Amino acid sequence: MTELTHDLGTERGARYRRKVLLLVSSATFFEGYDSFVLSFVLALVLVDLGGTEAEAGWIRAIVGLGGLVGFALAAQADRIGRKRLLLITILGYTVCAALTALSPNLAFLTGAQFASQIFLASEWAVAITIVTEEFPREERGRALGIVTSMNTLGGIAVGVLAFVFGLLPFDVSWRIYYLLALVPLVLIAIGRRSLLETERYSAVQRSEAFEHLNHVSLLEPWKPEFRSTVAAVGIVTFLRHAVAASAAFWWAYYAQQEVGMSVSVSGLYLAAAGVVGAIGFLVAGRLMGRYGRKPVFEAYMLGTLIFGTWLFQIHDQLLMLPVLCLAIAFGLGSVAVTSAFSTEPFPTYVRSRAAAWCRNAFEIPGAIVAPLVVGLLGDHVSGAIGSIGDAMSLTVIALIPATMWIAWRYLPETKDVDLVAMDEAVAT
Amino acid sequence: MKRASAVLLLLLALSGCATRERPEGIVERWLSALNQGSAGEPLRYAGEDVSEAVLPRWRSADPGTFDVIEVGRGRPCLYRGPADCDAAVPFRVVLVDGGEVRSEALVGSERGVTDTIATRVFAVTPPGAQHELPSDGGPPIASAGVAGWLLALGTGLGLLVLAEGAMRLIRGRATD
Repeated sequence: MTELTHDLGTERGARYRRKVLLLVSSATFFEGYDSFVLSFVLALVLVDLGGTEAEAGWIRAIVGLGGLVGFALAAQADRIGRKRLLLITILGYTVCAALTALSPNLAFLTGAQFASQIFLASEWAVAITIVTEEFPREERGRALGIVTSMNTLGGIAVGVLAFVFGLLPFDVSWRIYYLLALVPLVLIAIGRRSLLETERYSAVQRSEAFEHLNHVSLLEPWKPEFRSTVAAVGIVTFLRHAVAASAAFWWAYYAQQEVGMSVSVSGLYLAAAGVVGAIGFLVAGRLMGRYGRKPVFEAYMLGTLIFGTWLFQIHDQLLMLPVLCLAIAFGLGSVAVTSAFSTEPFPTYVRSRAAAWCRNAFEIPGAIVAPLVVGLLGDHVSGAIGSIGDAMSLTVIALIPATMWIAWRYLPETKDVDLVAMDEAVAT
Repeated sequence: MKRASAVLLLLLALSGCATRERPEGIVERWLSALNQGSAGEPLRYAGEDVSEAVLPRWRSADPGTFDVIEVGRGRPCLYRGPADCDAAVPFRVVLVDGGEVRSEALVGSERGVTDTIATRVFAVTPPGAQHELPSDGGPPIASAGVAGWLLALGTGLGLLVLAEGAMRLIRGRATD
């Protein structure tokens, strides 16, 4: 039991934690990069490999399901360890990126991207778990803010690459976007080998008191003592991400087709708002360390309700930019807080499985269903509303109040939670 | 979960109820397909000659030739010809090289030898006097209306009650 009483963050210094932050941030960076790059190059892929828009829709749907399947892999971190899973996911994703670049046809590309999503979704869950376990509680919020903000920067990196490629005097193949990603991926994979297993996980593995606990069952987070929290975090992440994913998916379409903005200007807006919006993640990380997770989440959701609804009613291109920045800062920035909700309330032996449930089983389905519903309602040919802007605003109004209510009523405040004490309580 | 499924099904059913095809949507899909080159299969929405009139040599064009595609609200069409015209839909496209095309698409059912063909763009004409796009201050092609906003508020309230009920049920079972 002596291992359990070690204070978090005292054995491994600030320098090691900075290294951890750098090496796990790649998980969220490449998730942003990968999800954005596919949408960006899909038109070029269709021309190169031969395909139609309808087939493109199928590719998006199948690839999206990969994140859902990633649940089974993400949950293995409680059994095989955080470090080992982190290595498996980066190697798996690197191989899949290489296979995507070499795709001879659409079916092969779809398979490679489906597998990519399995590894990326697992990597996210284990990265958040590692940050929660390796950082002392006063630094945890800030660290989660930094890691989650990398997702937005990954998307911006695609825009920057596209801009640079556009300046070149020759055409650049879509395959280059995947090949270029291999260089940092290989470096990160090498760097991650020097990472240590998290102190919390090692302590739990060494302790005899934990031998009687179930480290394997995927249903362990649904035991009576965790069930209510998993369900509350699940509902909140489902609803929040449904709004965020739909808005991220449909904004460019709305700006271009319903506001009359050019593709280049909307791309520029998105890149600028992404940079400003990344500040929202960092501020959320700082604020939740000072004021607590729940008040910050409620404030961010209120901002999402106001600016998310307003954003899709704007037809003035000048006004669009500041409101887009605020909508991204509040809407996407709140993921820093939900990542704390999905890891901190759970003891170490079940934490990764709980995070996998919250992320892969609730958040990802929200990202699949909501954009589909908005698309059906706002379809310009046959939708009941016929306007993507109105359909999106109505979705924000319909989903955010319930998110705020459940978060306030049922989520535990974890700002001062002591992971060591929590593990000891479970052991006894 | 049953109620959540019912709400989702209701939304899907509502979208399915709107069987009327908006001519503005057909014009937009045609232009978007044209912007994809041959991969977009624009001939599903308009004939070869009509597509050529907006983007010459579209079959060999790179994807993304249009930087802007904007479609306005259609108005009743008085055109008489080889098709039943449903609407004249104003649109504009801006090419990446800066060129702009403003025109009106005539949407309707072309009459074949034996029966009518599905609703398509069958001609493009110069912009009329009432050519007004959303970026010019014209009306959007469709909107939710007051009923839509009230329905969203009601759905939000319903979801809140549903989520609260689900949480009470889960908590109750966990403490049993």
